[in-house]
Amino acid sequence: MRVIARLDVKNGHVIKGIHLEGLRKVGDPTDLAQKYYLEDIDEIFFMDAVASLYDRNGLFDIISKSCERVFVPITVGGGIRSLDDVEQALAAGADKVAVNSAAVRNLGLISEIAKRYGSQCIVGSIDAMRRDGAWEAYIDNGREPTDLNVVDWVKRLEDSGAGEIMLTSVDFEGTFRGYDLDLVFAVQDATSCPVVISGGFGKIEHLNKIFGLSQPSGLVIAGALHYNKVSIACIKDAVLNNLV
Amino acid sequence: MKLGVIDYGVGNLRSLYNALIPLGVEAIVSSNIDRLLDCDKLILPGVGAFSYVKKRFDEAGLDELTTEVIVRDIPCLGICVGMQLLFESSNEFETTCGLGLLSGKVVRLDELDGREDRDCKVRIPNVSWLKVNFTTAQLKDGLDLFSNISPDAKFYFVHSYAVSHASKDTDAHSTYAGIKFCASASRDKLFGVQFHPEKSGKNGLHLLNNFAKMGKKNEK
Repeated sequence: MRVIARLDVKNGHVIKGIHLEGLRKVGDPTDLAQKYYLEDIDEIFFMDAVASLYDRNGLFDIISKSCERVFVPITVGGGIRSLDDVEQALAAGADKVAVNSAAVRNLGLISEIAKRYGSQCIVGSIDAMRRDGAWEAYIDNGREPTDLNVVDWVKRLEDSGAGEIMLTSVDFEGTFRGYDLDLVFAVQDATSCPVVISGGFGKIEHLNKIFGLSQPSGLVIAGALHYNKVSIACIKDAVLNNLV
Repeated sequence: MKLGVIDYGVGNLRSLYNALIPLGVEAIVSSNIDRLLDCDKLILPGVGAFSYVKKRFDEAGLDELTTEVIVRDIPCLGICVGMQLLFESSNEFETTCGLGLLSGKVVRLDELDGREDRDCKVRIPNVSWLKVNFTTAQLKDGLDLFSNISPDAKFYFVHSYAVSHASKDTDAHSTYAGIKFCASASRDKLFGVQFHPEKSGKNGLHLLNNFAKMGKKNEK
Protein backbone atom coordinates (compact mmCIF):
# COMPACT_ATOMS: atom_id res chain seq x y z
CA MET A 1 0.00 0.00 0.00
CA ARG A 2 1.52 3.28 -1.15
CA VAL A 3 1.67 6.31 1.10
CA ILE A 4 0.94 9.39 -0.99
CA ALA A 5 1.37 13.00 0.14
CA ARG A 6 -1.28 15.35 -1.23
CA LEU A 7 -0.32 18.97 -1.73
CA ASP A 8 -3.23 21.25 -2.59
CA VAL A 9 -1.73 24.31 -4.20
CA LYS A 10 -3.23 27.78 -4.51
CA ASN A 11 -1.33 30.86 -5.70
CA GLY A 12 2.02 29.12 -5.18
CA HIS A 13 1.27 27.97 -1.62
CA VAL A 14 0.26 24.62 -0.20
CA ILE A 15 -3.10 25.15 1.45
CA LYS A 16 -5.40 23.03 3.57
CA GLY A 17 -9.04 23.33 4.47
CA ILE A 18 -11.99 21.35 5.70
CA HIS A 19 -14.38 19.74 3.21
CA LEU A 20 -12.14 21.38 0.56
CA GLU A 21 -13.14 24.81 1.94
CA GLY A 22 -11.84 27.38 4.43
CA LEU A 23 -8.31 27.31 3.14
CA ARG A 24 -5.21 27.99 5.20
CA LYS A 25 -1.58 28.29 4.00
CA VAL A 26 0.72 25.53 5.25
CA GLY A 27 3.95 25.87 3.25
CA ASP A 28 5.90 26.06 0.01
CA PRO A 29 5.07 23.25 -2.46
CA THR A 30 8.60 22.45 -3.64
CA ASP A 31 9.98 22.55 -0.08
CA LEU A 32 7.24 20.27 1.22
CA ALA A 33 7.60 17.85 -1.72
CA GLN A 34 11.35 17.66 -1.09
CA LYS A 35 10.82 17.21 2.67
CA TYR A 36 8.36 14.33 2.17
CA TYR A 37 10.66 12.74 -0.42
CA LEU A 38 13.54 12.75 2.05
CA GLU A 39 11.22 11.24 4.66
CA ASP A 40 10.57 8.32 2.27
CA ILE A 41 7.14 9.13 0.84
CA ASP A 42 6.04 6.75 -1.97
CA GLU A 43 4.41 9.30 -4.22
CA ILE A 44 3.49 12.99 -4.42
CA PHE A 45 0.13 14.29 -5.58
CA PHE A 46 -0.03 17.95 -6.56
CA MET A 47 -3.53 19.35 -6.79
CA ASP A 48 -4.19 22.77 -8.27
CA ALA A 49 -6.95 23.76 -5.89
CA VAL A 50 -8.45 26.52 -8.02
CA ALA A 51 -7.52 25.66 -11.62
CA SER A 52 -10.85 24.18 -12.48
CA LEU A 53 -12.69 27.31 -11.39
CA TYR A 54 -10.53 30.00 -12.91
CA ASP A 55 -9.33 28.21 -16.02
CA ARG A 56 -5.62 28.20 -15.55
CA ASN A 57 -2.69 25.86 -15.05
CA GLY A 58 -0.29 27.33 -12.52
CA LEU A 59 1.28 24.15 -11.29
CA PHE A 60 3.69 23.16 -14.04
CA ASP A 61 6.60 25.35 -12.89
CA ILE A 62 6.32 23.92 -9.39
CA ILE A 63 6.34 20.38 -10.81
CA SER A 64 9.38 20.90 -13.01
CA LYS A 65 11.31 22.42 -10.10
CA SER A 66 10.28 19.56 -7.80
CA CYS A 67 11.27 16.90 -10.33
CA GLU A 68 14.89 17.90 -10.10
CA ARG A 69 15.02 16.74 -6.49
CA VAL A 70 12.14 14.33 -6.01
CA PHE A 71 12.63 10.83 -7.41
CA VAL A 72 9.29 9.21 -6.73
CA PRO A 73 6.17 9.28 -8.94
CA ILE A 74 4.39 12.59 -9.25
CA THR A 75 0.71 12.95 -10.10
CA VAL A 76 -0.86 16.24 -11.02
CA GLY A 77 -4.53 17.15 -10.88
CA GLY A 78 -6.72 20.22 -11.09
CA GLY A 79 -7.54 21.95 -14.33
CA ILE A 80 -6.44 19.18 -16.70
CA ARG A 81 -8.88 19.69 -19.56
CA SER A 82 -7.20 18.62 -22.78
CA LEU A 83 -4.48 16.45 -24.31
CA ASP A 84 -2.39 19.62 -24.47
CA ASP A 85 -2.66 20.03 -20.70
CA VAL A 86 -1.56 16.40 -20.27
CA GLU A 87 1.38 16.92 -22.62
CA GLN A 88 2.47 19.98 -20.62
CA ALA A 89 2.09 18.20 -17.29
CA LEU A 90 4.18 15.23 -18.48
CA ALA A 91 6.78 17.52 -20.04
CA ALA A 92 7.08 19.30 -16.68
CA GLY A 93 7.92 15.90 -15.15
CA ALA A 94 4.61 14.50 -13.92
CA ASP A 95 4.09 10.75 -14.34
CA LYS A 96 0.31 10.75 -14.16
CA VAL A 97 -2.56 13.16 -14.43
CA ALA A 98 -5.72 13.07 -12.34
CA VAL A 99 -8.89 14.25 -14.04
CA ASN A 100 -12.25 14.96 -12.39
CA SER A 101 -14.32 17.91 -13.70
CA ALA A 102 -13.19 17.56 -17.32
CA ALA A 103 -14.08 13.85 -17.29
CA VAL A 104 -17.61 14.60 -16.11
CA ARG A 105 -18.00 17.19 -18.87
CA ASN A 106 -16.39 14.96 -21.51
CA LEU A 107 -15.72 11.33 -20.60
CA GLY A 108 -14.03 10.89 -23.99
CA LEU A 109 -11.02 12.79 -22.63
CA ILE A 110 -10.18 9.82 -20.39
CA SER A 111 -10.04 7.40 -23.32
CA GLU A 112 -8.07 9.88 -25.44
CA ILE A 113 -5.45 10.21 -22.69
CA ALA A 114 -5.36 6.42 -22.16
CA LYS A 115 -4.93 5.78 -25.88
CA ARG A 116 -2.08 8.21 -26.30
CA TYR A 117 -0.19 7.85 -23.02
CA GLY A 118 -1.39 4.51 -21.66
CA SER A 119 -3.84 3.75 -18.84
CA GLN A 120 -1.07 3.95 -16.26
CA CYS A 121 -0.94 7.68 -16.98
CA ILE A 122 -4.57 8.53 -16.25
CA VAL A 123 -6.07 8.67 -12.76
CA GLY A 124 -9.83 9.07 -12.55
CA SER A 125 -10.40 11.40 -9.64
CA ILE A 126 -13.71 11.37 -7.79
CA ASP A 127 -14.87 13.80 -5.10
CA ALA A 128 -17.67 11.96 -3.33
CA MET A 129 -20.32 13.37 -1.02
CA ARG A 130 -22.89 11.37 0.93
CA ARG A 131 -26.45 11.84 -0.21
CA ASP A 132 -29.55 9.76 0.59
CA GLY A 133 -27.63 6.64 1.62
CA ALA A 134 -25.38 6.75 -1.45
CA TRP A 135 -22.62 9.00 -2.77
CA GLU A 136 -22.78 11.69 -5.40
CA ALA A 137 -19.78 12.79 -7.48
CA TYR A 138 -18.88 16.47 -7.20
CA ILE A 139 -16.76 18.60 -9.52
CA ASP A 140 -15.00 21.96 -9.38
CA ASN A 141 -13.18 21.02 -6.18
CA GLY A 142 -16.27 19.88 -4.31
CA ARG A 143 -18.52 22.78 -5.25
CA GLU A 144 -20.74 21.45 -8.03
CA PRO A 145 -22.99 18.38 -7.78
CA THR A 146 -23.27 16.19 -10.90
CA ASP A 147 -26.16 13.81 -10.17
CA LEU A 148 -23.71 10.99 -10.87
CA ASN A 149 -23.77 8.06 -8.46
CA VAL A 150 -20.15 7.41 -7.45
CA VAL A 151 -20.41 3.61 -7.70
CA ASP A 152 -21.76 3.84 -11.28
CA TRP A 153 -19.34 6.60 -12.21
CA VAL A 154 -16.25 4.65 -11.15
CA LYS A 155 -17.20 1.83 -13.53
CA ARG A 156 -17.54 4.27 -16.41
CA LEU A 157 -14.15 5.78 -15.63
CA GLU A 158 -12.60 2.31 -15.61
CA ASP A 159 -14.33 1.34 -18.88
CA SER A 160 -13.02 4.53 -20.48
CA GLY A 161 -9.45 3.55 -19.68
CA ALA A 162 -8.58 5.09 -16.31
CA GLY A 163 -5.70 3.06 -14.83
CA GLU A 164 -6.23 4.17 -11.28
CA ILE A 165 -8.95 5.80 -9.17
CA MET A 166 -8.38 8.54 -6.62
CA LEU A 167 -11.32 8.63 -4.29
CA THR A 168 -11.79 11.67 -2.05
CA SER A 169 -14.50 11.88 0.57
CA VAL A 170 -15.54 15.53 0.69
CA ASP A 171 -17.51 14.84 3.90
CA PHE A 172 -14.45 13.49 5.71
CA GLU A 173 -11.80 15.67 4.06
CA GLY A 174 -9.93 17.84 6.58
CA THR A 175 -11.76 16.37 9.58
CA PHE A 176 -9.04 13.95 10.78
CA ARG A 177 -11.73 11.46 11.79
CA GLY A 178 -10.64 8.62 9.51
CA TYR A 179 -11.50 7.50 6.00
CA ASP A 180 -15.11 7.00 4.89
CA LEU A 181 -14.80 3.22 4.92
CA ASP A 182 -18.29 2.50 3.56
CA LEU A 183 -17.40 4.59 0.54
CA VAL A 184 -13.99 2.94 0.17
CA PHE A 185 -15.43 -0.58 0.23
CA ALA A 186 -18.30 0.28 -2.11
CA VAL A 187 -15.97 1.75 -4.70
CA GLN A 188 -13.36 -1.00 -4.36
CA ASP A 189 -16.06 -3.60 -4.99
CA ALA A 190 -17.22 -1.78 -8.10
CA THR A 191 -13.87 -1.56 -9.86
CA SER A 192 -10.82 -3.68 -10.70
CA CYS A 193 -8.61 -0.61 -10.94
CA PRO A 194 -6.24 0.17 -8.09
CA VAL A 195 -7.94 2.68 -5.78
CA VAL A 196 -6.15 5.28 -3.68
CA ILE A 197 -8.19 6.85 -0.92
CA SER A 198 -8.17 10.43 0.28
CA GLY A 199 -9.87 12.46 2.96
CA GLY A 200 -9.98 12.07 6.72
CA PHE A 201 -6.74 10.39 7.77
CA GLY A 202 -5.75 11.68 11.22
CA LYS A 203 -3.99 8.91 13.13
CA ILE A 204 -2.53 5.42 12.76
CA GLU A 205 -5.59 3.79 14.37
CA HIS A 206 -7.58 4.88 11.35
CA LEU A 207 -5.75 2.25 9.33
CA ASN A 208 -6.85 -0.73 11.43
CA LYS A 209 -10.10 -1.26 9.59
CA ILE A 210 -8.61 -1.07 6.13
CA PHE A 211 -6.03 -3.79 6.67
CA GLY A 212 -8.52 -6.32 5.36
CA LEU A 213 -8.46 -8.54 2.31
CA SER A 214 -9.14 -5.81 -0.20
CA GLN A 215 -6.81 -3.03 0.80
CA PRO A 216 -6.65 0.15 -1.17
CA SER A 217 -3.65 0.59 -3.41
CA GLY A 218 -2.68 3.77 -1.65
CA LEU A 219 -3.38 6.16 1.20
CA VAL A 220 -3.52 9.80 0.26
CA ILE A 221 -2.60 12.00 3.21
CA ALA A 222 -2.54 15.77 3.44
CA GLY A 223 -3.34 17.57 6.71
CA ALA A 224 -1.96 14.87 9.02
CA LEU A 225 1.45 15.30 7.32
CA HIS A 226 1.32 19.08 6.93
CA TYR A 227 0.44 19.57 10.61
CA ASN A 228 2.94 16.90 11.79
CA LYS A 229 0.23 14.80 13.39
CA VAL A 230 1.86 11.57 12.16
CA SER A 231 5.25 10.86 10.56
CA ILE A 232 5.65 9.10 7.23
CA ALA A 233 7.90 6.55 8.97
CA CYS A 234 5.09 5.69 11.43
CA ILE A 235 2.53 5.26 8.68
CA LYS A 236 4.86 3.09 6.59
CA ASP A 237 5.71 1.01 9.65
CA ALA A 238 2.03 0.40 10.34
CA VAL A 239 1.42 -0.55 6.71
CA LEU A 240 4.44 -2.89 6.63
CA ASN A 241 3.52 -4.64 9.88
CA ASN A 242 -0.08 -5.19 8.93
CA LEU A 243 0.31 -6.45 5.42
CA VAL A 244 1.29 -9.92 4.33
CA MET B 1 31.93 7.57 -19.18
CA LYS B 2 29.03 8.89 -21.19
CA LEU B 3 25.49 7.57 -20.87
CA GLY B 4 22.98 7.89 -23.68
CA VAL B 5 19.24 7.92 -23.10
CA ILE B 6 17.47 6.77 -26.26
CA ASP B 7 14.74 9.25 -27.20
CA TYR B 8 12.12 7.87 -29.57
CA GLY B 9 9.17 9.85 -28.26
CA VAL B 10 7.88 7.51 -25.57
CA GLY B 11 8.39 7.95 -21.88
CA ASN B 12 9.22 10.60 -19.40
CA LEU B 13 12.82 11.24 -20.37
CA ARG B 14 13.12 14.32 -18.25
CA SER B 15 12.61 12.29 -15.05
CA LEU B 16 15.25 9.84 -16.15
CA TYR B 17 17.67 12.60 -17.08
CA ASN B 18 17.03 14.39 -13.76
CA ALA B 19 17.81 11.16 -11.91
CA LEU B 20 21.19 10.79 -13.66
CA ILE B 21 22.36 14.32 -12.76
CA PRO B 22 22.87 13.76 -8.99
CA LEU B 23 24.98 10.68 -9.85
CA GLY B 24 27.54 12.91 -11.53
CA VAL B 25 27.10 11.01 -14.78
CA GLU B 26 27.59 12.70 -18.12
CA ALA B 27 24.34 11.97 -19.90
CA ILE B 28 22.75 12.88 -23.19
CA VAL B 29 19.18 12.37 -24.39
CA SER B 30 19.13 11.81 -28.13
CA SER B 31 17.44 10.16 -31.06
CA ASN B 32 20.55 10.44 -33.22
CA ILE B 33 22.09 7.01 -33.78
CA ASP B 34 25.65 8.29 -34.24
CA ARG B 35 25.48 10.35 -31.06
CA LEU B 36 24.05 7.38 -29.18
CA LEU B 37 26.72 4.99 -30.49
CA ASP B 38 29.32 7.46 -29.28
CA CYS B 39 28.13 6.71 -25.69
CA ASP B 40 29.68 4.08 -23.43
CA LYS B 41 26.31 2.85 -22.21
CA LEU B 42 22.70 3.25 -23.24
CA ILE B 43 19.35 3.35 -21.51
CA LEU B 44 16.21 2.31 -23.38
CA PRO B 45 13.16 3.81 -21.65
CA GLY B 46 9.54 3.24 -22.62
CA VAL B 47 6.08 4.06 -21.32
CA GLY B 48 2.73 3.13 -22.81
CA ALA B 49 1.38 0.27 -24.87
CA PHE B 50 3.94 -2.20 -26.26
CA SER B 51 2.67 -2.12 -29.85
CA TYR B 52 2.74 1.70 -29.93
CA VAL B 53 6.20 1.81 -28.34
CA LYS B 54 7.56 -0.77 -30.83
CA LYS B 55 6.07 1.20 -33.73
CA ARG B 56 7.82 4.38 -32.60
CA PHE B 57 11.03 2.39 -32.09
CA ASP B 58 10.90 1.11 -35.68
CA GLU B 59 9.93 4.50 -37.12
CA ALA B 60 12.95 6.05 -35.41
CA GLY B 61 15.14 3.53 -37.28
CA LEU B 62 16.42 2.07 -34.05
CA ASP B 63 16.77 -1.49 -35.40
CA GLU B 64 20.06 -0.29 -36.88
CA LEU B 65 21.10 0.97 -33.45
CA THR B 66 20.17 -2.41 -31.95
CA THR B 67 22.43 -4.27 -34.37
CA GLU B 68 25.35 -1.97 -33.61
CA VAL B 69 24.77 -2.20 -29.85
CA ILE B 70 25.04 -5.98 -30.08
CA VAL B 71 28.02 -5.98 -32.45
CA ARG B 72 29.94 -3.43 -30.39
CA ASP B 73 28.89 -5.01 -27.09
CA ILE B 74 27.59 -1.73 -25.63
CA PRO B 75 25.92 -2.22 -22.23
CA CYS B 76 22.23 -1.33 -22.44
CA LEU B 77 19.54 -1.06 -19.75
CA GLY B 78 15.86 -1.31 -20.72
CA ILE B 79 13.32 0.20 -18.33
CA CYS B 80 9.65 -0.89 -18.06
CA VAL B 81 8.30 -1.20 -21.62
CA GLY B 82 11.89 -0.56 -22.76
CA MET B 83 12.78 -3.80 -20.97
CA GLN B 84 9.80 -5.61 -22.46
CA LEU B 85 10.98 -4.62 -25.96
CA LEU B 86 14.10 -6.73 -25.44
CA PHE B 87 11.98 -9.88 -25.25
CA GLU B 88 10.43 -11.95 -28.06
CA SER B 89 6.90 -10.60 -28.27
CA SER B 90 3.96 -9.07 -26.44
CA ASN B 91 0.23 -9.71 -26.75
CA GLU B 92 -0.82 -6.27 -25.47
CA PHE B 93 -3.79 -5.29 -27.74
CA GLU B 94 -2.26 -7.32 -30.61
CA THR B 95 0.67 -9.70 -30.83
CA THR B 96 3.74 -7.64 -31.62
CA CYS B 97 7.28 -8.88 -32.10
CA GLY B 98 9.93 -7.53 -29.76
CA LEU B 99 13.66 -7.38 -30.41
CA GLY B 100 14.09 -11.01 -29.37
CA LEU B 101 17.34 -10.37 -27.52
CA LEU B 102 16.06 -11.93 -24.29
CA SER B 103 13.95 -15.07 -24.19
CA GLY B 104 10.37 -14.84 -23.02
CA LYS B 105 7.01 -13.41 -23.99
CA VAL B 106 5.23 -10.41 -22.48
CA VAL B 107 1.68 -11.23 -21.33
CA ARG B 108 -0.96 -9.65 -19.09
CA LEU B 109 -0.14 -10.08 -15.40
CA ASP B 110 -3.23 -12.19 -14.71
CA GLU B 111 -2.38 -14.52 -17.61
CA LEU B 112 0.99 -15.48 -16.17
CA ASP B 113 1.47 -19.05 -14.98
CA GLY B 114 2.10 -19.79 -11.36
CA ARG B 115 -0.64 -17.66 -9.83
CA GLU B 116 -0.93 -18.81 -6.27
CA ASP B 117 -4.47 -17.72 -5.47
CA ARG B 118 -6.88 -17.74 -8.42
CA ASP B 119 -9.72 -16.24 -6.34
CA CYS B 120 -7.77 -13.18 -5.35
CA LYS B 121 -8.89 -10.07 -7.26
CA VAL B 122 -6.00 -8.83 -9.36
CA ARG B 123 -6.14 -5.08 -9.73
CA ILE B 124 -4.53 -4.02 -12.97
CA PRO B 125 -2.34 -2.09 -13.61
CA ASN B 126 0.01 -3.07 -10.82
CA VAL B 127 0.90 0.29 -9.30
CA SER B 128 3.04 -0.48 -6.28
CA TRP B 129 6.38 -0.58 -4.55
CA LEU B 130 7.65 -4.16 -4.42
CA LYS B 131 10.68 -6.06 -3.26
CA VAL B 132 12.86 -7.60 -5.94
CA ASN B 133 13.98 -11.08 -4.97
CA PHE B 134 17.64 -11.47 -5.67
CA THR B 135 20.00 -13.51 -3.51
CA THR B 136 23.39 -12.77 -1.97
CA ALA B 137 24.70 -15.70 -4.02
CA GLN B 138 23.61 -13.86 -7.18
CA LEU B 139 25.33 -10.70 -5.95
CA LYS B 140 28.56 -12.65 -5.44
CA ASP B 141 28.08 -14.17 -8.85
CA GLY B 142 28.12 -10.76 -10.47
CA LEU B 143 24.57 -9.39 -10.35
CA ASP B 144 26.20 -5.97 -10.21
CA LEU B 145 23.03 -4.03 -10.97
CA PHE B 146 21.91 -4.71 -7.38
CA SER B 147 25.27 -4.46 -5.64
CA ASN B 148 25.07 -2.70 -2.26
CA ILE B 149 21.28 -2.64 -2.43
CA SER B 150 19.41 -4.25 0.48
CA PRO B 151 17.26 -7.30 -0.36
CA ASP B 152 14.48 -5.44 1.51
CA ALA B 153 14.64 -2.49 -0.85
CA LYS B 154 11.44 -1.73 -2.74
CA PHE B 155 11.08 -0.36 -6.24
CA TYR B 156 8.24 1.42 -7.99
CA PHE B 157 6.30 -0.64 -10.55
CA VAL B 158 3.54 0.52 -12.84
CA HIS B 159 2.57 -2.01 -15.52
CA SER B 160 -0.20 -4.32 -16.69
CA TYR B 161 1.98 -6.76 -18.65
CA ALA B 162 5.06 -8.73 -17.66
CA VAL B 163 7.37 -11.60 -18.56
CA SER B 164 7.19 -14.92 -16.72
CA HIS B 165 9.59 -15.29 -13.81
CA ALA B 166 10.51 -18.64 -15.39
CA SER B 167 12.16 -17.01 -18.41
CA LYS B 168 15.73 -18.26 -18.53
CA ASP B 169 17.06 -14.70 -18.65
CA THR B 170 15.27 -13.70 -15.42
CA ASP B 171 17.68 -12.62 -12.69
CA ALA B 172 15.11 -11.68 -10.08
CA HIS B 173 11.35 -11.81 -9.71
CA SER B 174 8.76 -9.82 -7.80
CA THR B 175 5.32 -10.90 -6.61
CA TYR B 176 2.09 -8.94 -7.07
CA ALA B 177 -1.28 -10.27 -5.86
CA GLY B 178 0.28 -13.74 -5.63
CA ILE B 179 1.64 -13.55 -9.18
CA LYS B 180 5.37 -14.01 -9.70
CA PHE B 181 6.86 -12.13 -12.63
CA CYS B 182 10.24 -11.15 -14.02
CA ALA B 183 11.44 -7.94 -12.36
CA SER B 184 14.99 -7.96 -13.65
CA ALA B 185 16.60 -9.82 -16.54
CA SER B 186 19.89 -9.87 -18.38
CA ARG B 187 21.96 -11.59 -21.02
CA ASP B 188 25.58 -10.64 -21.64
CA LYS B 189 25.60 -6.84 -21.51
CA LEU B 190 21.86 -6.35 -21.99
CA PHE B 191 19.85 -5.59 -18.86
CA GLY B 192 16.21 -4.92 -18.21
CA VAL B 193 14.17 -3.89 -15.19
CA GLN B 194 10.38 -3.89 -15.10
CA PHE B 195 10.28 -1.19 -12.41
CA HIS B 196 11.21 2.48 -12.72
CA PRO B 197 14.58 3.10 -11.02
CA GLU B 198 14.28 6.84 -11.77
CA LYS B 199 11.12 6.89 -9.64
CA SER B 200 12.26 4.49 -6.91
CA GLY B 201 13.92 6.94 -4.53
CA LYS B 202 17.44 6.37 -3.30
CA ASN B 203 17.52 2.65 -4.12
CA GLY B 204 16.55 3.43 -7.69
CA LEU B 205 19.27 6.06 -7.98
CA HIS B 206 21.69 3.53 -6.52
CA LEU B 207 20.75 1.00 -9.20
CA LEU B 208 21.24 3.57 -11.97
CA ASN B 209 24.60 4.39 -10.44
CA ASN B 210 25.50 0.67 -10.40
CA PHE B 211 24.68 0.50 -14.11
CA ALA B 212 26.72 3.62 -14.84
CA LYS B 213 29.73 2.34 -12.89
CA MET B 214 29.43 -1.29 -13.98
CA GLY B 215 32.55 -2.81 -15.49
CA LYS B 216 34.55 0.27 -14.65
CA LYS B 217 37.24 -1.70 -12.89
CA ASN B 218 37.97 -3.51 -16.15
CA GLU B 219 38.36 -0.29 -18.10
CA LYS B 220 41.73 1.24 -18.71
